[in-house]
Amino acid sequence: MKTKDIQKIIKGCIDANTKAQHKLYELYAPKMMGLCFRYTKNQADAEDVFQEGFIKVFEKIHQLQNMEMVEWWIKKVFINEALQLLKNRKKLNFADEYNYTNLTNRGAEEILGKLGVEEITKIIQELPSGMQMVVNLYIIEGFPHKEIAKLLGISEGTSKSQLHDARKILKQKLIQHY
Amino acid sequence: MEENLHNEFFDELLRSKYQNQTAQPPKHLWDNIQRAIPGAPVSAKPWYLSKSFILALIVTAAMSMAAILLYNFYLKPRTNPINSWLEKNEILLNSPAREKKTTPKIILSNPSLKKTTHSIMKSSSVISPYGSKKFGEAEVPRKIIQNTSNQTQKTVTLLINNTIGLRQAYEQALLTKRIPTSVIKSISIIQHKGLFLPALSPAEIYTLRPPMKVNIIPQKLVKIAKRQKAHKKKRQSLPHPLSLEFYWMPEYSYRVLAQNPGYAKGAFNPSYFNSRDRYKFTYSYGLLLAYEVRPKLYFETGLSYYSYALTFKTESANLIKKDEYNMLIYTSSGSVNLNIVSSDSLSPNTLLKSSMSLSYISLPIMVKYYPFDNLFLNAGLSFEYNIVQSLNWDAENQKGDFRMTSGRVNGVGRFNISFIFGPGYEQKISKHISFSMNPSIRVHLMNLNPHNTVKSYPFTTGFRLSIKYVF
Repeated sequence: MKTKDIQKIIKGCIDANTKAQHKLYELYAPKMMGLCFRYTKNQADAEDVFQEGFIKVFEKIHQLQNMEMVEWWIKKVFINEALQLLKNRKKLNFADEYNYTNLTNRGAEEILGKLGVEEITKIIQELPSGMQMVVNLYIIEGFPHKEIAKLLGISEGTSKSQLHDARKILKQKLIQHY
Repeated sequence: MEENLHNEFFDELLRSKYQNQTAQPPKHLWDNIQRAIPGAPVSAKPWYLSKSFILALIVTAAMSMAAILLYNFYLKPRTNPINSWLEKNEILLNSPAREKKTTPKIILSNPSLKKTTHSIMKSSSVISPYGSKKFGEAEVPRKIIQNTSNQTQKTVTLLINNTIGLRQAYEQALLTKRIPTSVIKSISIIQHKGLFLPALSPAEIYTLRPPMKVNIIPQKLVKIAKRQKAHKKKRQSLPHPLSLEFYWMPEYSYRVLAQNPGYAKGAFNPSYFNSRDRYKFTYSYGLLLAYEVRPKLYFETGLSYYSYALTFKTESANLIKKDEYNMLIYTSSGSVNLNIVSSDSLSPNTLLKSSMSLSYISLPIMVKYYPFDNLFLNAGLSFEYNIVQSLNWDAENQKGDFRMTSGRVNGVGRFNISFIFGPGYEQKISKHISFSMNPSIRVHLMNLNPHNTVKSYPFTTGFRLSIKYVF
């Protein structure tokens, strides 16, 4: 879709135009639903985050400064919403110790290459919520540790160690799964 | 080192898996979202505010106007039914004034005389329902006289058959005179020898077509016919029913506020805005087409521009700060996002003044009634569509160096319906042009912004100045 069309849709959303809101929804709903699955543990939670995320998007769309960054902005709203859900349910935990065995990297990578997105998502969902967040934010979204620490309310060191552990666990789970 | 490389490869592989990840959300989620977001669902909108209805209304109005114009200029018959009815009954009404102008022409049905027209009737009265009858005079067509005078061998008698069944016989010698009779239905020329008339063997019968019947007309109908005739005369002196009007109206605009039950009673309530809002003068103008649907009653429609404006004052302490340069301000028309273009900061006492205007394009559908010749009353609805919003903000601090720009008032409805009414005075300048003055009130029937903390119903009072061209 052209930038001009997206700008028109956003202007319509600012005016609370229902048609524009529906267009924006159609444009980003599939991507955001995928994101919600990654950040939550089950379908019901994903749907909750998805619903609340879009409501926030429509409520706060007038705050959008740079229209070219709309997807990034929407993504951030959804990530915040997922975090909020975990915080509200007090499910955001960062495991101090986790038992895993050291595996050869190559084995895990080969398996990762063969698996589909849904299977990988299920494996990521099995991680402790804190690790799941760090994996999503660092590996998939590309956030730096500094920003992740700020978002999750942890230190940068914790973010790094959580990522380190998460990689190991993921590799172990991938091999177990295979 | 090697582990780092492997980690990067692992991360890259994982990221690539999710690069285009999508999942279809269940359909019911959109319904839930739609119910929760500020924009009301389409189905919740009243039908008369739907885009399609307003579009249909505009198209219908445009088509009606086109049809009226087409009818008036191309299709309208030159004689209307009333006129033809009066023509037909002229003879019954027997207006002496009318008689002077035109004498009814009657065509004889005899083939040889088919193309000849004759003045035949000079009746002077109507046969009333009460039996009083006055015979008029009939002039026998000259052609018939010529025909009969050629037949010198025989005695020729004319038998005049009138509509009430009387047959009157006249000798040839009388043919040049006017014969006292009622209305002639047919004339029979009878040739005979001697004094006796043969019973039923006329040589020629001239039937007058159409037969000039003397109807027995109830008095009431006569009165109605007279009234219609009088109206016709008056109408002839009246202007064309179609007129085009251009108007310009300076207006004073303000609004009425009420608490919006959808929002909690907080700081931004009607009394807050009442102490800060000030009226503003605006204007409207437009082109209207009026058509006389009944005597003194006109239907009016067209296209016009209308603007609603307001001045709003607030202290910077009442602004909700979002970040260093962006602020949210509440007005009676809705919330506004402000972007400050200044390196200086606002003090809590800084007074900010804004002027806001909403411009509409409108389609009025009005009726105009003239109880007296020059005085009229008009009333109707105006269907309006918001085309432009403009906002200007100034800081009234001592330095006066703040400049603020803003986008628009959030959530103002695009459509509106207003009720317009007012009396007026019209003065004719020439045969086709007249000037009118019309104090007018416009009231919004719809809340300006359903997503605002208060309900706002704008109204304007103005003085319409129009110039009208009658076709």
